[in-house]
Amino acid sequence: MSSIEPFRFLHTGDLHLDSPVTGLTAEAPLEVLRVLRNATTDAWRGVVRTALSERVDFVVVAGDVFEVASPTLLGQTRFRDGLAALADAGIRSFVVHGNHDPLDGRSWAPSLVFPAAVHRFGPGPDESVPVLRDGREIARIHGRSYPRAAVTENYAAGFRADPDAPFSIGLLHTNVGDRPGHANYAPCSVEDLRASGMGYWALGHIHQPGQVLADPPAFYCGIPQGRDPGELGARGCYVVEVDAAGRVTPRFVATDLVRWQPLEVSIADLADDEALGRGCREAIGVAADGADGRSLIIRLRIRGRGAMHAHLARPGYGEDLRQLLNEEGVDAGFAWVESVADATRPDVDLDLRRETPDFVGDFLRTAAAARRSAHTTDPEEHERWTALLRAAVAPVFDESQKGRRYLRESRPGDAELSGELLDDAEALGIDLLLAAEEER
Amino acid sequence: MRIERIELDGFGRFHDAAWPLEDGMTVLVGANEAGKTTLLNGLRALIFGFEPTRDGRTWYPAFAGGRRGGRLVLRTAGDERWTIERHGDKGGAGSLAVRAPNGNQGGQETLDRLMRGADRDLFNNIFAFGLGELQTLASLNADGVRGRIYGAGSGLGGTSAVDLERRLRQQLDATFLPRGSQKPLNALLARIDDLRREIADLARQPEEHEAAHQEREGLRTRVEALRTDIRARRELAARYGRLRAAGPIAAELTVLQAELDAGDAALDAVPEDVVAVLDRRLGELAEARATLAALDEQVAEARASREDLAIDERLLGMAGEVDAVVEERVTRAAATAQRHDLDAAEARSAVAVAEQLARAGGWTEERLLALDDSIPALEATRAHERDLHSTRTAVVEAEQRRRSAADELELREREGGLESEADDAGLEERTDALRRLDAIRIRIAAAEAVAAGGGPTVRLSPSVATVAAVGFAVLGAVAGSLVSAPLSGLFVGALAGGLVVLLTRGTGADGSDLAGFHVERRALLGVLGLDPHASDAEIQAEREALAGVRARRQVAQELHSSLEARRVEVERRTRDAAAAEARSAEAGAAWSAWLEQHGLPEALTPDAARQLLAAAGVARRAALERDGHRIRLEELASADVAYDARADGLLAAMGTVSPADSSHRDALVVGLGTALDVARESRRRAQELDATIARLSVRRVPAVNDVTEREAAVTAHLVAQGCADPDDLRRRAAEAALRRELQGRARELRARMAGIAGSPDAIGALLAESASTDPDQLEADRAEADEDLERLESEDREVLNRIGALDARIAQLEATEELGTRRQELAVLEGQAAAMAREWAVRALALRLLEETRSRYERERQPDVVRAAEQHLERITGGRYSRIVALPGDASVRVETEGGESRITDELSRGTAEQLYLALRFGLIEEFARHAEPLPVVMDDILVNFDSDRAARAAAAIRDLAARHQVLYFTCHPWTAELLDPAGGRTLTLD
Repeated sequence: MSSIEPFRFLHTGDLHLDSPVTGLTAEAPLEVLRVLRNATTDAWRGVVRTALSERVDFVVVAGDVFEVASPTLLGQTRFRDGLAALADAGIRSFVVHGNHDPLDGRSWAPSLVFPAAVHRFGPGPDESVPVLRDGREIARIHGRSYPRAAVTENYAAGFRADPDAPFSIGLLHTNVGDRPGHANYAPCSVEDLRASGMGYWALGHIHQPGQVLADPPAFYCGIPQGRDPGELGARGCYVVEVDAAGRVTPRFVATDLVRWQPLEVSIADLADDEALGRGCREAIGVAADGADGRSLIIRLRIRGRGAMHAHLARPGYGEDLRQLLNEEGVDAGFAWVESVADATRPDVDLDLRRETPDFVGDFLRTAAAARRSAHTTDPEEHERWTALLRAAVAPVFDESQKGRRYLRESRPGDAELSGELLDDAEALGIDLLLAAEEER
Repeated sequence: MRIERIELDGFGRFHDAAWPLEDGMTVLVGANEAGKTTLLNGLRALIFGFEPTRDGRTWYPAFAGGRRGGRLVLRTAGDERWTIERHGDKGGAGSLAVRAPNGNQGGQETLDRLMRGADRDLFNNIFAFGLGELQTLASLNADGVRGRIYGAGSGLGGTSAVDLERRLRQQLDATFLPRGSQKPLNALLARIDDLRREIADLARQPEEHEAAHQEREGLRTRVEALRTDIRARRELAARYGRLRAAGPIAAELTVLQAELDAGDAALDAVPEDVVAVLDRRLGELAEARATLAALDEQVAEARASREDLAIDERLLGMAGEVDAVVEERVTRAAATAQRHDLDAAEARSAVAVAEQLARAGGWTEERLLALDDSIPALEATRAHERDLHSTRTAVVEAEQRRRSAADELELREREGGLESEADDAGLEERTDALRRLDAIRIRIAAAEAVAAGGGPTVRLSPSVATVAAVGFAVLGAVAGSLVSAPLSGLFVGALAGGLVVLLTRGTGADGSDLAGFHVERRALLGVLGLDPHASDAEIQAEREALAGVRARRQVAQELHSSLEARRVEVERRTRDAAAAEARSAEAGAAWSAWLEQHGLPEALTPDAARQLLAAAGVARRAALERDGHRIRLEELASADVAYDARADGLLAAMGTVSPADSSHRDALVVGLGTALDVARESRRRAQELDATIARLSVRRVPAVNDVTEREAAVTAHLVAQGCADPDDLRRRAAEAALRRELQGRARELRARMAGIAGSPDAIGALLAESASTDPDQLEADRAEADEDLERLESEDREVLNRIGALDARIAQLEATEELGTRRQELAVLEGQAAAMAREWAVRALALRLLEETRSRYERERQPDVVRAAEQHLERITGGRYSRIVALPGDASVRVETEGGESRITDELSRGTAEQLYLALRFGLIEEFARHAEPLPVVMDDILVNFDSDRAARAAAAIRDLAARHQVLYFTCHPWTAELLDPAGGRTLTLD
């Protein structure tokens, strides 16, 4: 390694520009929709602003700028405009393609002209580009784009740093260590990363930002804007400092505009509607205070046992509560309650009722039998309950053509039918039965 | 629960009908069409509402009259009394009022609770059935019927599992229907479908963008080629144009040049403005001459006017005196009018003085004017007036009071004179005698009573004695009232009574006492002047006379006291009147003194004095005014005399004899004033004209010099151009102008040639090329080149337009948010649909769990019902059938005989099947009653298909049922009534 001039660069990726924010279960106000609609592109603008304000020497983009399944020209234009703004400031950009924007896909409009200061890596191995400052090389960037969406080849294993380069950066879209819940594309191991000789690995693919490896430093930059209820917490990019000794100091900079915020409120000590509303507002207030000025989409889960369960069990109560919590309106820096889930249970000893020889006991025993059927060794019982539960939900998910087509993703599997859904169904049934019992 | 009373206001044939019902069995017997079924349906209607219209006709209209519907009185096992009242003209619930024992009123929900969840189906099929319901198994197997029977034991209150299932089913259907389109989830899925199609269309935008981009690149290349061609064509056309334009110009230029060469070159030296300069100088000369002539004319006019003026210097010499006299004349004329006014005012003042003297009654002016009419004097008259008035009023009032007192005294004295002195000698002694006589009378009576009783002492019981004492007291009071006062009577009576009491206490009396009493009585009568044997009546008369004397004596005493008081009053009033009179006389004397002091007549009243003083004031002011006017009039007369003398002097100085008549004199004075004004104006005008003539003479000198200079300038200009006179100069100037015009045209043509050729240097070459070109060929080539150019330019425009359109479209595609917006909308909708579907799934699973639970519950409960039904069937069939096999969900039921023979319902006779169903109903009724309050059971002639043995056994079973439930049995068969109610005490007849 030759001598190093200290430099600074920005590591981003997984922009998924102009792709929708998913997972909303309620009709959102226009202001919220507007923010969500532009969230990914506005986050990209935030990345560009960060690069400009931090006066970085260059920017690396670790794939998945778009989604091949849903490309839009607007997103590409915004991306190009951002790169042009960087180029105008003398900042070069280096881009690799990932599984969502492979080279063979439709995601890149051929006619879209990128500034000369942008380098897009091709699909071949051994491609590297020197980064010059005042005519002297300060770093060398190695990168490889996906030629197609499903790349199963270990690209990282082919990365080798040039000993003559002052500092080498590996830029790759990859699943290191076969992380569950993510497509295992360009799979590699931390050993592959270690063996490469890179001074820093700028990785993309996993949307949660964070360190993969300490030596050499390998980081997933994460997505600049969380797009669904599963992508919680702050999202952004890394500004990476490299000093004269080659020491790397990545610093996370949040660029997201809106964050998903799950909240839980227990009804255990709440006496009435007012107390519940107050408890929810307090929880929301605390979340908003800790949101770093970001807007929040709040998923409120009311849990616990208590007198308020009967209120929450009433049809429409949750929606009324949600609207009540949102009644102050939505403006900049909003905290909008997207859903109110009732996970409360009646204040009765269900175990005791399950042993009671009456109709409610029968009902609880029936539900328990259905729950057990998932694990029973009696194939006939298992088959009977599986068919019965499937048949119960079939009208929506199977028998309706549109349901088959558009509810495929949310169609409950057998485990969910005899698990979470069954629990909720049991709670609903118990609510009805106890209410009827009350009338006696 | 039992029905205490059914009332039908109007229902079918019934109007204002009522049936009070007892607990246990009631048999209602009626012939066909007597109304049994109507009553059954009336009962159903009151509980569950009216059936809908059938075949376009109202179900049981109130054709007998009344308001359709009625009232039902129920009594619960807890002895609570509920009232259900329902009316309605059509099908449905109608108007329902359910009144609770505490007076609260409820509706359908209350009724449902009261019926413990038994709905119409359950009631009609199990609790109130006729032959029709009895003949099918379906009516027993209906989900609602079973669910409610078993549900009664589920501990779910008025709600059964069937209700919960129905509620869940309704909620599911309200969200989604497999073949629906309007429900929220259906609508959401449909919207997703539409949106996805829309997005698929929008997703083609990148392809369109690429195509537009490619097309635009091709067009830009084409534009470059077109521009090259257009440039070449334009250069060729320009060359043809130059040649075409140069020919005629060259020809004209040649002719012009020849003409100029032949002309007088000296004309070039003639200035362009030579004529203008001449005209300007001639104009200036003419102007100077006109100015001089005008000055001469003005001087002549002024001199002529000066000579015509004549000035009266003598008059002007007397101007000061004339002005003074004229002014004094005006003053005198004004004084004449003033004098008339003063004369009139003086006369009015004199008359006013005379009037006041007359008012004073012929006083002299001096005496009247000497009176003091000051404000203190007037106030003094008012003060005296008040004194006089008040003292006089006091005299009159005192006299009135004195007279009134004297009249009162006189009246009382007259009344007193009528009273004779009352004879009151021995009055006190006689009164005492009467009192003692009363006591003696009582003692005598007591003594006589003792004597009449044979001697022994009569003892009255103390209570009798007390009554007697009270009686005496009352009598005494009555008697006393006649004498003096009731109290004294009461005292006397009480005394007598007390005496009686004393007597009765055993003091006793004997005959010697009685004689003593009589002696004393006679003595007392003597005191009164009565006969010793006078009767009680005579004594009473004496008592009354004595009372009259006492009364008159009291009146006489009161009158005497009154007279004394009146006399003192009269004396006091007389003294007061004399004092008032003295004060009045003092006031009169003071007034008279004041009059004398102020020189006024003695007899004057204060008011008359004030009038006289007022007259004096008025007369004084009038006299002052009158004297003032007289002095002013004398001053005016003196001024008139002075004026006349001055006017006469002036007229004499002017040589005029002063006339005696003052008006004539005034006219002459006025004439002098007017003549003086004319003389002054003439002198001012003469001075003005002299000044004008002097000023004009000064101005004439430079005007003469100016004319001389202008004449010299014109001559110099003509000489400079070598001309003798102005006309000669004009001719030469015209020739020079024509030559300049030809030279200008030649320059213009040369400039145009230079423009065509590109530069002045190229003119020669252009002229040469033009000379060698065939004009016709040139024209043909030029037309062809123009045509090519037009075509190329047109294509260029089209291509540029297309590029512009592509630019706009590409920019639009790159900036459009529609696709992203639609995708975001889709994401939101899919999220909502997923949430809604999940909620739906939870409800569906809850429903399935409930159904499973209920099915299991019923299975477990059914054996009890079937066992009970088996006992009933065995009893009704006389042991023929002893077992029932009924599997849940099965459409039929099997029965087995003792011998194991098994038959399904289809294989049974109609009667046996009905007995089976009746037995099952009894089982279900008992199962329901096990968990809920027993409901009344109503049966409508269900035994008609039973043979006599089984009918009798069934009737016995019904009678047993009636021990636990209220049973109403409708029949048209008297024998059935006898079976059910052998004693006949529970049978009612419908007619």
